[in-house]
Amino acid sequence: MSWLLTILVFLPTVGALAVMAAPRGLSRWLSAVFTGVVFLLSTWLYIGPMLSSGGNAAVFGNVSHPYWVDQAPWINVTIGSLQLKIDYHLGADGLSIFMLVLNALLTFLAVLGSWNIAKRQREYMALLLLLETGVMGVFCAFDLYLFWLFWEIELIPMFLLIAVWGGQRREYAAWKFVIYTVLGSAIMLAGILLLYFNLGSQTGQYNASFGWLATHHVSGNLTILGLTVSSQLIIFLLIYVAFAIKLPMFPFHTWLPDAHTEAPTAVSVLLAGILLKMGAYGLIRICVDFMPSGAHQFAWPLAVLGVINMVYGGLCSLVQSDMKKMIAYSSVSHMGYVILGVAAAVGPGATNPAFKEAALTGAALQMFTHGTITAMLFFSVGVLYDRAHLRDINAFGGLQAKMPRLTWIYSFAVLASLGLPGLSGFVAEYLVYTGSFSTFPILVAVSAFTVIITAGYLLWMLKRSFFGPLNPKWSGITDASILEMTPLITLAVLVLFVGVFPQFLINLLHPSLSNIIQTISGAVTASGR
Amino acid sequence: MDIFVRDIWVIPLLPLIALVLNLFIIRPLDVAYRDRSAHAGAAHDGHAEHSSSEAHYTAEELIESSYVSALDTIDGHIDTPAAMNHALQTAQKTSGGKQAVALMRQLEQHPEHPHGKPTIYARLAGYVGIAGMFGSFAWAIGALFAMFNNASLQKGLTIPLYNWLTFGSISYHVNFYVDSLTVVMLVVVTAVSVLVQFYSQEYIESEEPRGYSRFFAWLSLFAISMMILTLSANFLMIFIGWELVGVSSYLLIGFLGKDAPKIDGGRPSPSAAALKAFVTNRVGDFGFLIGIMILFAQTGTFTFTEIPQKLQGTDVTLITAAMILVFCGAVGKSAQFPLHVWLPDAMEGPTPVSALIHAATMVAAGVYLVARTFLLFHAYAGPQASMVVAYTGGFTALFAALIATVQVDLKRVLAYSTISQLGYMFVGLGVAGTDGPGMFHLMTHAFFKALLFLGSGGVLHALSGQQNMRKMGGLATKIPLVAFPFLLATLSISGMPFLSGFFSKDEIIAQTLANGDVALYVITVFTAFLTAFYMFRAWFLTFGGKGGALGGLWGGKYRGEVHPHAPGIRIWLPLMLLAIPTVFLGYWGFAPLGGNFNAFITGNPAAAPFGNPFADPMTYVSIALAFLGIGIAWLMYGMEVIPADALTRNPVGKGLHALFFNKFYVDELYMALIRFGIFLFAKIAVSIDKYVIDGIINGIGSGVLGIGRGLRKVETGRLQNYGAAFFGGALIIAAAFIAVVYFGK
Repeated sequence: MSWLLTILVFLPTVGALAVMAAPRGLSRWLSAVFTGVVFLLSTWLYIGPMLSSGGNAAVFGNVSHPYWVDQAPWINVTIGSLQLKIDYHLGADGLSIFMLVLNALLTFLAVLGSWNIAKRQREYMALLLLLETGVMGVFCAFDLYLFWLFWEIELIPMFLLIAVWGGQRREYAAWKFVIYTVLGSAIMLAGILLLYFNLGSQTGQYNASFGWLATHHVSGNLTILGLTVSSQLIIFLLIYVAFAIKLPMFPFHTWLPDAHTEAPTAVSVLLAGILLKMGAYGLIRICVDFMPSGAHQFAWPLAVLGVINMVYGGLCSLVQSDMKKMIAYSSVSHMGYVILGVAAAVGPGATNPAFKEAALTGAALQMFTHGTITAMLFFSVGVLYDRAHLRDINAFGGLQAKMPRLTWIYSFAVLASLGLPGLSGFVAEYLVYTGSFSTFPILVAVSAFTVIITAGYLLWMLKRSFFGPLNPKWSGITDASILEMTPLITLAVLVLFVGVFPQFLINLLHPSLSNIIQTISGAVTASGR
Repeated sequence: MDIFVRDIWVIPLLPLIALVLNLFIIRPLDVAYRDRSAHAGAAHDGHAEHSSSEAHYTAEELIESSYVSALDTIDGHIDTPAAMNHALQTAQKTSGGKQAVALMRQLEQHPEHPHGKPTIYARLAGYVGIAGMFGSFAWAIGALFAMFNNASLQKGLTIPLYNWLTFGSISYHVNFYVDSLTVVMLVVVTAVSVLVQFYSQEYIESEEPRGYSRFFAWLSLFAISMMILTLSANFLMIFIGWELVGVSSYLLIGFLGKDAPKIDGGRPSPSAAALKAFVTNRVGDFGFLIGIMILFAQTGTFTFTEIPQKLQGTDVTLITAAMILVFCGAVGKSAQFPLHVWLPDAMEGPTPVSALIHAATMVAAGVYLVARTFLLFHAYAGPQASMVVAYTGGFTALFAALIATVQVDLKRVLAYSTISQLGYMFVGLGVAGTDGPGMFHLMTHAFFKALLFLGSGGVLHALSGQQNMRKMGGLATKIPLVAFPFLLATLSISGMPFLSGFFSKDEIIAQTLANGDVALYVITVFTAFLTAFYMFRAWFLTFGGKGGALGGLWGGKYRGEVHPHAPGIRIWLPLMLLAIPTVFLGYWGFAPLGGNFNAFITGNPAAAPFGNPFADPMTYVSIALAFLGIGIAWLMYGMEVIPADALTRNPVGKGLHALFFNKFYVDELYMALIRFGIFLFAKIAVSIDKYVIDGIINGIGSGVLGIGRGLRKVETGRLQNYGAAFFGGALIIAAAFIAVVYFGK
């Protein structure tokens, strides 16, 4: 037991307390130091095992044997026949490390991006740090109850960040976010309880640790409102609702455009960059791995919904005039790739599991890709909004002449977002497409339509705002400062590096994902489908 | 010698080094140096303002008035660098020192203002780019001769770079592959690139000196992308190169970033043209991607050399469909009907870009793709696949040639000509038994079309950006160093015997007959007639005209206003160099002199050479038609004995003219489709969000908010209250759910 994960999760909380205790002038510096240290620690999660194993990524292990473990018994009560055992169990394999580092990085950059926030800076920074704790916890909780706990903890700071520091309609957006999310997590809790007690009564052992759940699957049927359905499917659906809302999946996505539009820049970055990934992470880690045959039964609707996400989100982006709203809908579209990739991985026609792993790898890479690229897009829009207090695409024009630096980096982000090869978005999309095709040929062909729409709305936006003759109204606008460029350039380097050498992330993910693929094929073979 | 082939990766590496040096060292220096001099000027000016008491207001007003009056004097034509400088001079004369300085600052802020000359660093960026490109060119020539030396190298060699991933039987390799086809393409790409970069020094210096280093960066980026495409060993790599050349093209079309002067009528802005190019290409890529996916799902590999053997036993219909879908990508990139609409608009890019990307190399990538997968098209897919290729090419060749006959913009004529010639290449690939004829035409066309475009750039340069041929005429005597090579290229593309274009085009026409396809023969031979006509129409309107020597062939009356100024050596030297392949390259495919291009490109020494055109009686039909086309153009636009509107006086002619002039209204049709198709769907989607989904949510929300109205003042709320509320709420709902499951039985 190394305590590293525990430090990683709770150091931000300590930071939040420190920020609240320290004088106001220090709050942003303290936040930067804390998030910076957390980021450095998180990179050790990757570097440490790589050094000790001589660069063999297999060392990261999988859900049953993660490299990093912090575990202690916590709650163990028996009430009659009901046994409730919740362990303090943190773990990190490749899939978790990948998200932990991304979260640490984006939170650090978000602090830098909020450097000049004027309104109640101390409380704002403290909430950002609390949010980091919640999200870190979600990505490394290896006990299902603990996972749910962190899932709820993350909600509070996010709600306040939108409700207090948001734009004009911040209260509406914050409440909408909360209603969706609380509803989702309540249903998820019901699913978790069902899973726990059903599995407990079937195996005689009550355990909610991920390693146990990944190797012991619920069987049999459940009756719900008079309908008999396989237990795995019903539990899958109950838990998935929460993830579907977070992802967000059509038709649970409408909180996202409002929340994104109203949230302050750095919060939008975290929302898109990390919070949506919690849904994707949960889908892969929990829904697919613990209820493989439930997921398998739901593969077709899942794929259809994924494709709807991609095309529908793209179409909605096309007619937005608010830049942030457009990017929000583009998130809906891009997260569709994750859903499609996962659906293909659990889908029918398991002729060659290699295709399925390619699709799942693509879905996981898309999490990273979307996190970094959308963060870039939001940071860029933030720079613009700070100066113009406007986000209307048509209100600008020819900004290239006045803001060459921002034009550069924004164009880079846009090109990355539309899947330009050499940048990470392409790798993820290409893997999802080529991996999913043999499972859902027609659906994937339809979804490929997205490549046209995406190019259309992104480049059209760029054209209207940044190219062409300068709108004289903005002749006094200044270019992005060095401070504002720092997060953008950091992310750009990352996006470029992963785009050219994706294998370093793929190798990190491979042990976790291939294990999941094995679980799926085992379950599919067992169910005789 | 073999090292040139084995280490072929040097070719993309050199421009990559140039790009990195440019972007990360030279360009920042360039920008910093420019900013510093701008700051120095501003500080000086500020000092002057402080010295006078009422300075601020009055100065502003003076600037305003003198700026406006300066604009008035030049009658709104402030669209070219020359006009801009003229405005400045006028202001200096009329309003004296201080106002002139102020005006200069105003003009500098004007987005269209050229900021003087490129800095020393910008020039360095140019030199580095050219040096890298020249190195690549030399290496490509080395590889070509290595293959001449050692014929076994023509067969192909895989150069592994690295692996994205390998899972079980499938893998995503990043590999290069080099064979004779690759090398021919590389020689074409590097040769045209190095000449275009050399040429761009002078062209961009006058056109957009501020963007000088950026321009060279994008040219290097394009070169790398094109080389990746050319060197790709598999569909993954070719798709990477494919998209990267697309984005280079996007960046370079939009490079000038200013709107075209309205006097030319209806030209799109460069940024609109760039957008259109990218999105139209994406439509083709949509099909391409699906084609790749089908092949990958069947074989588990992207590698060109592995796919055929792994396709054994696959349904032929499926392969045919896959190859037609792959061809969709080629249709987009090579601007074939119905995705041709982006290429004419792409002419809003700087002319060197039009020459390099939109004439010689990138647009030929579609042809290269079909040549690269030739075996799949001909041996594995059904005959329909090749038919689709040939007929798309044939139809496009004719279609674009008809449009070209009536255009008045010099670059647009050349653009439609490019589309038409690319159509020929696809005909060649579709009907012939090898990729020889198609690739042969690709190669000769690359040189003579690059020459035509660079020549037209010379004209534009001489006329300060004028593209309208009605404002030209008689330029041969004014800029003979541009006119002479241009004439050679015009003759070559028109199919004049003994020139390169004649050999390559005639081989394709001969192949249609050899294949027994009379319809395609008629189309191609009639298009050859049209080609000769519209090219000489362009020649006479630009360089010749009534009153010129040799019946209007050389010189004549000049119809423009701008005084043409002669280009420098950096412009005319590349033209002269391009004239060499324009005249002589065709002999590589001329069997009587021992030329056997076919054997080289197929890597099969036993492959039969192209037929001797002079031994084939049908050749004389094409030659006669070419002369007929030239003759009609001469009579109409050279000697002007037939009035130019002779054919359009009757209603049918008038209607046809309008149809051709408006490009068969394809653009209008697409705009309608987008507006009433895509955007309608998009608006429906948004309405569903707003009224259906949010309607439900707001309904739930108002219920919850009704309870939670006391919590409205969130800013005063305490963290733990919300925590308790969210956790408690979740627990209650969860309990309700469990109850439903357990007691609802």
